[in-house]
Amino acid sequence: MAGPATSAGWALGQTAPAGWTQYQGGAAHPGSVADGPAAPFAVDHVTTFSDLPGGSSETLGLSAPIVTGETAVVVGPLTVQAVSLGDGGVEWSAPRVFGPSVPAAIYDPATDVQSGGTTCKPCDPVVVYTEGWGTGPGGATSSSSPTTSVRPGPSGEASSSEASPTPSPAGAQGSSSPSATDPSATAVASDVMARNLADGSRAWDTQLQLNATSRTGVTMDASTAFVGDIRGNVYAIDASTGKVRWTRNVGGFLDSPLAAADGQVLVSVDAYSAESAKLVALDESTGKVDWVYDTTHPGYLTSPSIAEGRAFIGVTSGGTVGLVSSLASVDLTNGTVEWESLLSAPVTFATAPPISGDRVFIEDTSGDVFAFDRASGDRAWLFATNKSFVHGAPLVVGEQILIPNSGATLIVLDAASGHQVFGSADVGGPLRYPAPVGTDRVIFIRGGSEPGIVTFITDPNGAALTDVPSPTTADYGKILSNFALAAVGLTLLSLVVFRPVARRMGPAFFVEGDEAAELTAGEDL
Amino acid sequence: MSDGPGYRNAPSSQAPARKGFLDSVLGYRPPGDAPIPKIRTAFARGVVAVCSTPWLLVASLLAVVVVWLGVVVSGFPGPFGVFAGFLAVPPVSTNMDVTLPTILLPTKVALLGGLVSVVPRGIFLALTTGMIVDVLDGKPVTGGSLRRGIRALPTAIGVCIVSIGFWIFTLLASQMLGPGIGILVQVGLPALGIYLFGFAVTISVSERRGMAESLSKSVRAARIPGSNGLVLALLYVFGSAAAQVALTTGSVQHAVNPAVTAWAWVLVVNVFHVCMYATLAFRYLYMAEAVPDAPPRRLRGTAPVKKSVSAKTGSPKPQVKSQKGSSPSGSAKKRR
Repeated sequence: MAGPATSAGWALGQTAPAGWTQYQGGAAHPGSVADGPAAPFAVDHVTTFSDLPGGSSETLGLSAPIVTGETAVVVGPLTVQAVSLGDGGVEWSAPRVFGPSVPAAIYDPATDVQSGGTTCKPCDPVVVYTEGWGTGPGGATSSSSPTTSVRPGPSGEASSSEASPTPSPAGAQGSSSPSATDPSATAVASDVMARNLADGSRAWDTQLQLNATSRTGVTMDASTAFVGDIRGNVYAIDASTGKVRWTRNVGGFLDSPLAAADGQVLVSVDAYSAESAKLVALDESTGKVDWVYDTTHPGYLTSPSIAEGRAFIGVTSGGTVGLVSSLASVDLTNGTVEWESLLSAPVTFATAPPISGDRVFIEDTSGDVFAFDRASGDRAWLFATNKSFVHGAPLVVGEQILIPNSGATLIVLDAASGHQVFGSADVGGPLRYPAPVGTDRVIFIRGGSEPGIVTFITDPNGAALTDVPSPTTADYGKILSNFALAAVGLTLLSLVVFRPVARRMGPAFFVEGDEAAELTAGEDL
Repeated sequence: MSDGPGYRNAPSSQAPARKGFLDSVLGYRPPGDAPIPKIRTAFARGVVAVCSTPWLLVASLLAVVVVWLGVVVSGFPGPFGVFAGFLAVPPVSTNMDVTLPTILLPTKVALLGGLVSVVPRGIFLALTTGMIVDVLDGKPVTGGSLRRGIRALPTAIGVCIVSIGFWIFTLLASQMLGPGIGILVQVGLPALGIYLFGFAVTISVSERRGMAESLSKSVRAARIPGSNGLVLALLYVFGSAAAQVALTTGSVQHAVNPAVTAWAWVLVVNVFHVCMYATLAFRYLYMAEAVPDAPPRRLRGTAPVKKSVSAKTGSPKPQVKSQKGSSPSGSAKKRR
């Protein structure tokens, strides 16, 4: 186990960074920091993980990282790893029951005390994550999975997948832990686990068994961890003890990280068949449904982002013509849609729209990055990276936006103009899930055949910033001149070649009595 | 010995086979003696007609750039390669007509946009066919060509609307039948649409017929035995799909300032589509005399009309043409 180390690029005496302790930097998923690393960047170091099943197939790989101080925690299919960002070494690695690589969250009791939460003993931060995929995703990767990892639910408890909508009494929290008596349900169930951030030791007495596989990752708001599963169950868990506070079934299929703010938990409910995708708001303390925004179409939603009484979600609906995708602003008081703006392509459920200033941003799966006005939904700009995108969300750092993409280069846009200001050298694999580290570094998860963590550092001596507009910005002079060249060339070529041929062939038909034409009439070509 | 009916030569007890569903469309048709050009002859005539006529070339190329500028102004991010199918014969082009508005417009008005798009497409189809018919007749393209074309506008719009029906049916059928057979449906149904209604606008232009009459006569023309119309339609649909795939696969997906080479390829493919209009027009004009007119409609409650009466009371225009030698343009023609 490597101890914390100081990076050569890490400015000594700098104040400890606030941290990026969960997906998109907070329970509300802001996805932005006011001050942080800025382009130009250089690669500081790369931490590779060679033992990840499914890495090359890109079906598994690493989760979105969470960062506190000089440590990043990533969830892999079979391990949870804490990596020192100083030298890229692994601080600790804990075995994990084979399962989806979804983000963990850090619960810091000390922070919770400061915000008026419960007192803690001890006050060490813990990493909360989900694990377990039961029979696994199938294919070659599952053969290497620990099939014995499937844990049965707590002994013989009667419970159904329709989770209780009522909060669990405090005294019965342990016994009301969700379980599954249905063998098939047990076979695909996940559990929630916590480990001490310092050394990776177990923080809870026992893991919390869920009713089904969880793919949402963990969202932490104060001392409560929120988790969803693929059968529509939402769990509120006391992060200090691992006991369930309440559960609620909202139906559908939950893939995206839950968001929490202002006393509400927002759940993106996906529906792939007859039902419609929904955004459900639950009361954070009781689990009671506050409102539901129903898209009225089958489809899926991104993880929500919350700011100033509004939630922003990417919506991909199955319409008559095909998939239609948009970004919607939803009023948090009643769940009504304030505006909805079209995107170019479907949006992945593994993203969330980052918010910064008066703008909200989103990247669709075609690699188009959009900036919209938060109040009106008017599109400020669009930048087409033309690199497909599935994992993560853009990171807004001050006036720049760092774009995850399937290419192997870091792309940085100017937040105001939408022009590209920086493109890095090839880093050997697709870049996913950016997270800032302090004020001068940013890490990306690298996918592909050599998965790992790539740390970029601000390089004041790097290449000068560029100002490249999106290829979707029309240059009418160029359009017309290129067209004219092609059209004139094609027209002249056609006439030069085919007019003599037409004269040689004569008219297609001739009028009766036109002897001259009849004399030259030929047979079929 | 008598040859009359008896137990030795009793009439066969086997009743004639009952006509089944769609037998009238898909049933066996004996080879006929109608004059029908070979596919390669028709295509060569179509290519020469279009590529040797500056007006047709210029109209086709300008249509592409005007609409491209329009969609770019409206916010279309690309890819430019989809415009390879812009001037395709409906229903091949219908997919673009319906899906483009869904990218540019809010969902609630996008389908309306798809329906509205039949008007500009109909106008282009009608005007182009007007010019093509004159060129095939050996006449220069004049204002009269355009006037004749614009008179066929209702038919052209009708073809586009029928094509939307084909498109919807293709969409539903391919979803229901799954990816395997669905692909066959996606190719087969557009080809069927071209096969059945590909002559309609030419009929409307050359014979000044109304929409319903042109559509029905187009179906009758398509069903003339030995025409190989379905083969031509299938070849065209495959060719179009191949060109579309070649121009969109591997290219930059979202960019609106195409390079000269991208323009060149897209324009070539669109000229190929207009050549297909001319190919269909040539085939129809070649066999126009052999296409039967519709049987007279029998009014409910009236006795069947005698054939001789039918000839006098039938549609006046074919009657006149028939007297002049069935010339599509009013003058007797011979095929070349």
